[in-house]
Amino acid sequence: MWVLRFTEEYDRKLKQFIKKHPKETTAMLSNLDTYFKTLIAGVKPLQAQSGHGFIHTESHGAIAIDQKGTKGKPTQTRLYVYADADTCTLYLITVGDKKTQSNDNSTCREFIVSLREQKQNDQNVASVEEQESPRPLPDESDEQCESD
Amino acid sequence: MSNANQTNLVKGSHKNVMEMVREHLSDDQEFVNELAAHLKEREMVKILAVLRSRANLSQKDMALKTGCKQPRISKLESGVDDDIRFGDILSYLKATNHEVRIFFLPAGMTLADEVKMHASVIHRLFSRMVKLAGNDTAIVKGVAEFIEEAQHNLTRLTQIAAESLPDCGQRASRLVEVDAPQVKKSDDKVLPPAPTTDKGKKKKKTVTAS
Repeated sequence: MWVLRFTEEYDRKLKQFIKKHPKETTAMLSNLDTYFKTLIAGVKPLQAQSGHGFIHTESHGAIAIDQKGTKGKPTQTRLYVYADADTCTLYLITVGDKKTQSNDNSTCREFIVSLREQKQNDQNVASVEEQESPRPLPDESDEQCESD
Repeated sequence: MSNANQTNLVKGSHKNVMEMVREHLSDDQEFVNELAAHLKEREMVKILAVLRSRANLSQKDMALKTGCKQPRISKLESGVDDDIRFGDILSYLKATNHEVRIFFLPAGMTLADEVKMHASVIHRLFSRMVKLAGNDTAIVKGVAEFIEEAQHNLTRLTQIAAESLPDCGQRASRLVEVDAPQVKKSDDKVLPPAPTTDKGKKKKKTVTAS
């Protein structure tokens, strides 16, 4: 089953955005909710991101969720996330607007590179441990990203 | 080693957006309530959007299938439940190869009432299967196997729920263990048997004592 995790930067910036752009932040979180429900329904991340108009593809596998659904003339805001299908985790990386787009993309790139390196390290450690003591075969219940 | 060190992740994970917001923005109750109301107004809209995405249809594809323009689909999916027409729901279900089943429930139904209601629905479906089987040996055999499999799965579900409860000295006295036959697998998914702590021990099912 998919889970949500978030960075300290996301936490800090979200609180600022709630004060500055409450309506846009509400819409972004609502769109995040729709995207997350799509993943939970068993849709693969790539398919899920092409199916919704509020999603924009960014570099390194990150996607940006916008404030579509806000009434009036909203400020362009983005919630940057990364869906890791291996661990069924949706990472919430940062929040920004048009002005911070370039910096936000850099933050996403650094986060995803770091996450991948960490995963690679973890796999290497697991591989060494496995060679030393073989693990039992997983049973049926080990299936990941189980949908509802 | 945890990923949290290098990626500055906040500890813990969440099963849904509202749970996460409630936990981490508890000092901003006004925003939490506003978001909760916003999501509540869009429950059906989100289901339709998820159904479309799961069917791998773009908004343009959906518009073609339902005989309207893409902006109408976009407006519908970014709108609120109150603005959806019943015809929209039927169109989405047809386009995504689903059928509609409606339950009219009395207000204030408890969870226990809902379980009883679904048990009654299951009973009705079994009766229809038995009636359909008639005296056809092949169908009777198939239905018998299915009922046996369903019995196993339903018992497992109640067992899982019972075992998830904290032990307050009640569980042991209210549940008994009975032998259960091993069930042949059919095309439908069968729940895995309960893990046994004693190796080599015959698998058992737990049922509620009446």
